[in-house]
Amino acid sequence: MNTVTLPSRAGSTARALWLETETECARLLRMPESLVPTIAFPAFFYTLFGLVFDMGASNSAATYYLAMMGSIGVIGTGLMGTAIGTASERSGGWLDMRRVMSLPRSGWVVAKLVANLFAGLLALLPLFFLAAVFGEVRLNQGQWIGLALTLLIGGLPFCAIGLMIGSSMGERAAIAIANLIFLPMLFFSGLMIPLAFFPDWLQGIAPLLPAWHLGELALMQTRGDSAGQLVHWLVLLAWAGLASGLSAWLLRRSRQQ
Amino acid sequence: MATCHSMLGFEDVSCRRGGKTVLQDVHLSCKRGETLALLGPNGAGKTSTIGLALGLLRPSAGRIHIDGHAPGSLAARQTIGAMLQGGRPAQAMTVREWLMLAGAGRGQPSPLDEAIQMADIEDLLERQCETLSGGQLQRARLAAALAGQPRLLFLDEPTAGMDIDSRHRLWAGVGRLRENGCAILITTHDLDEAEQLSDRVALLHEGRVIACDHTAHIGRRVPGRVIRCRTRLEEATLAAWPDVEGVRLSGGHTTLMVRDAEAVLRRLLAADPELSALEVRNAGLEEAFLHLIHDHREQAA
Amino acid sequence: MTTTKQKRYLIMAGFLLAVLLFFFLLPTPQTPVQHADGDMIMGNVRIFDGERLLEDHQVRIRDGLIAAVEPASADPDEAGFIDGQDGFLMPGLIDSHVHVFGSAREDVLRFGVTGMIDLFTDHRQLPSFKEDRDSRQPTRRADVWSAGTLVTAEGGHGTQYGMPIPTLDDPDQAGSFIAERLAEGSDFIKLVYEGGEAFGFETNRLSQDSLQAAIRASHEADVLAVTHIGSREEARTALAAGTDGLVHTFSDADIDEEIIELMKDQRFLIPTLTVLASVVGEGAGESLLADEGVQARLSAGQKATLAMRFPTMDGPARYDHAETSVRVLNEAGVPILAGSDAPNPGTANGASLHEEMERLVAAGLSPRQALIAATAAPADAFSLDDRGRIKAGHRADLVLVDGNPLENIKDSRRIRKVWKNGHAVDLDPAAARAERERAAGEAVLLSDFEGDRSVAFGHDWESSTDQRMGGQSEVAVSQEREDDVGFLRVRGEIRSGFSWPYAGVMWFPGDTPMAPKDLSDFDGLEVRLRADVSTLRALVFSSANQSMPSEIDLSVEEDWGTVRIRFDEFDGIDHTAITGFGIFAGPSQGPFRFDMERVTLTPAGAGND
Repeated sequence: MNTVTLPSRAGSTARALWLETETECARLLRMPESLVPTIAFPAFFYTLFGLVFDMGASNSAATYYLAMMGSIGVIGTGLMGTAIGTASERSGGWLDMRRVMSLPRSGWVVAKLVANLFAGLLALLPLFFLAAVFGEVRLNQGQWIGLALTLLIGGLPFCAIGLMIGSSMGERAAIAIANLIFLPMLFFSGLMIPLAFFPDWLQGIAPLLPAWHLGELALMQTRGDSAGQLVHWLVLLAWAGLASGLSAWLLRRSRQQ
Repeated sequence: MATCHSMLGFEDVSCRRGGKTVLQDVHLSCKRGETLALLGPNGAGKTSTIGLALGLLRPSAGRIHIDGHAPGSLAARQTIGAMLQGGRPAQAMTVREWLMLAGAGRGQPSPLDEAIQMADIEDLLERQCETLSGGQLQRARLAAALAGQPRLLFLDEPTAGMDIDSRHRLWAGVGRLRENGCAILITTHDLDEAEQLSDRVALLHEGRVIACDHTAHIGRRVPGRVIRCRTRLEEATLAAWPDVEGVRLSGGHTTLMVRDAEAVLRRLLAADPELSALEVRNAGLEEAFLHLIHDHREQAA
Repeated sequence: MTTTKQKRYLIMAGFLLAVLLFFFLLPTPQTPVQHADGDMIMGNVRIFDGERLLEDHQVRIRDGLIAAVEPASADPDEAGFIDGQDGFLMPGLIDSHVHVFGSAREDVLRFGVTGMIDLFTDHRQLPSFKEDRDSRQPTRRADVWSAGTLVTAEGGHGTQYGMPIPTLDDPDQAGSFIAERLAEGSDFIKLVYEGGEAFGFETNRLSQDSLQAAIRASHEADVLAVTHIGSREEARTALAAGTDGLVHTFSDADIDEEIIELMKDQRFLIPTLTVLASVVGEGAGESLLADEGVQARLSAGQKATLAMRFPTMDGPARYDHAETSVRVLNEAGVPILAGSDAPNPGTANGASLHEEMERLVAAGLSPRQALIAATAAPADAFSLDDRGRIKAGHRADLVLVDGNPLENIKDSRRIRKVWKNGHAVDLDPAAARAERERAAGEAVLLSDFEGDRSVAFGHDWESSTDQRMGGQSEVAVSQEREDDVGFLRVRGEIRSGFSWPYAGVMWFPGDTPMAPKDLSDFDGLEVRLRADVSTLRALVFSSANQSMPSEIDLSVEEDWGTVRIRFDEFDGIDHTAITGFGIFAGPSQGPFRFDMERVTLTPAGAGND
């Protein structure tokens, strides 16, 4: 009786991709110590800002912060998760090990992206639940799904930024630097505190940060605005391109040493 | 096949890393069913050679092929299994997942059982890799290298950190693989191991192959014999004797490398009446290794 | 192995299903909008919802309300679908400064104004304002929220209109004064604090104490207190006294920091630039008169007020001071509300709100802000909870225009269609309305003499005497008003000179005078009449009796009475080709006077009464 066999039809690229993706997602679930904080952080602040401090009779804060904390959720899983994961796999030798294996080169990126979508979804579900049940947020079916998709897809550029961090430094440094980028970026993008409370010169910083663009896109989804989204998407795309290009260069360079 | 079952070929390969030449005009080949041991002192270029074969490094000159394919190409990677020094899988990955991934892209469906048995990791399959001890991890690395029945196997210091039992199991396994036609490239510090496992030996020194021959022949390239015994005599005293080429003390035994065994023997027995555990044999791999490097150094000087 | 694998797939499938289910269970706004028979769906439009532009959406209208603003999905062939033909749909406009008299509520609808903030009118209208705006039935009238009687000093601004009103001359009376206004039905309180110096005249104004006391009393009663001011210092005083908004801006001096700070305190400004332009001679009404589309929808009454001019004034007021205030306060984030102060000279009910928006843009608002000033901003300022926005649950008061007012504010005038309570409004002053009533077999209101002599169709009532036939009789026609009911007064003298002397008024039903018109849909007319003579005559001309009108006698009394005139009482006329209809005095000689209040054409086959 075989205990383990290779997957039937092994050798097919799709099968290898599937296997690696599955493994990546399973690993994610085995590491609650890094998953839970990235989920709990936005949920906690949503409860605080969106539900408890929502003074007005309307549920505008509940809706507004759903967009904001949703952005924080996917940025957290994308940026932190990828940065730390990449750094540890690179310094631990796994990246070189898998380069020798007969896995398709793209598999690592695909698995990382899918697992990140999965983690992002796990971060969004409790937020949406809180918003719907306690925040009395009411959106059209299409808006709910559109908001989730916007956040998940819009979160991918942050994976690229995380990848860039993870490619350029060791695990400990990556944790420190990712945090150092993460928290101030949330703050200066107005995701924690609305920009209106900031002085003008500080408000000017926000459009330079990708997080602000994601927040704007999410807000537009909650309002049902479709006009004006393109610019924000293009900015996110540019960030994604820049960060992944830089990461590819960094990874190639680190291999040569 | 054009190369007639040559699974691995290095042709005049040089490699520079960080402005330093680590390999110079290396010529190597390994046929189906053949085990090639790559020997040499630390820094001789063994790991770089494997890195080049795996596609992790690029040669600055020369050509390398893996069963006719370029190193690093998917076809090449589907051909090889590699057990490298160090390196651990991503966090929270189980041994089973590791093995599945290692075997995932191989050409044909094949059970992992053989790999699991050979590496003796049946009990470890559901363990997360970071919970393994050094020896367990080494066994898992071996299993991952064997997963999917590679036709060319790289073993980089495979028995380091393994207990005797596992080591024997590995040796037996390698023998079986060789019988099945697998080509094996092994680097080791353990010359006994190399002597036991390999068909041919390539000796690397300072980035050059200074000798490459059948394991059985290579000892014969050293003219002298080896005397091993327990004696009170000082190492320095012995070294000063004519016909003594080298003296080594290890584990209470003194090993002498000599040109004229009979003459030295007589003198030994005369000088130390309490001499015991006397053993005389032809020079082996170890002696050849030392001798060749010694020669190479002298030539270089 | 297979079992673990199967288990794994089961878990994955379960997770995906749960996520899908989760998303489908997420709550949607209100009850999900379902198709209902009789829904009207306005699609293929760009929607300005009172704040921002929505593309690819449609508006679902049901029972006079907006049922939903939803992603565009309707099939153009679906019942109830209205193709907006890529038009620009905006909320019914709100004019934040009007005085509702006469036919104002009808007239403004043709210009997309579906709501008005009235800042002084006869308070007896207030109960009907309230009743009407609570109704979602089809209506031809815009809704009104009114201050009713304003609060002014004896002899102050507001007392000069010939309507006796109570005045507040003792601050201690403020509480009871405000209570009386609220008892009359005032929705908010309007105060007048103007001494006239900005415009070079002098009038009494409230004392500061009275002003403060009245504002305080309003706030205690939880209603807004807005103030009419003239000069910058009056504005400062009113703001310091806590007024909720200024219903004009001052124009005697430029704004200063102190006033900006006072205004920032969540107050609003209704600058009424249009009426100021009229006062200071800055071309009020010119852009409306130059617009043919606007012209076509103006009634004679609206044209008349637009053409009127204020007497020349001599004060420090300057239009650019007012523009500066608007620009500065807008930049400071103070809500600006568009109000026309119609029907003052130089303005026209409804039409002038568009001029006001244009002037606001010229003063520095963006077109979007100008639209907000006529939609969401007044709704917010006056707490009109279901107006001023295109939003589910709001009243289906909508305006469809061509072009894009967000780029060119003048496009707000290019009105293609107006809906009040979800029903389309006739944009043609009276003729289209008459046509519909006639088609429906209803009585057609020919004239009500509320603002002018206009008729539903044909040519307005004209005076007519035997002078045409060489006679000597004379007549004078005037527009009168008694107990807030408008009527036409016809007075003159019948003199000898023609064998059948006559003098009175005529209506020509055809497109040109004496062109025949088929009136066979109607069996006659009803006229509300009173006279100081006992007998009047009704004359009918038709193609059949061109030179010799057929006539009957009408017996009338000194008090109002409805006189029924049936066409079949006239001998030898052709119903299908009537060319003229007149009501005359004569042939008995001497002075006469008769008044006509309402003329209605009665449908044929409506039964005999």
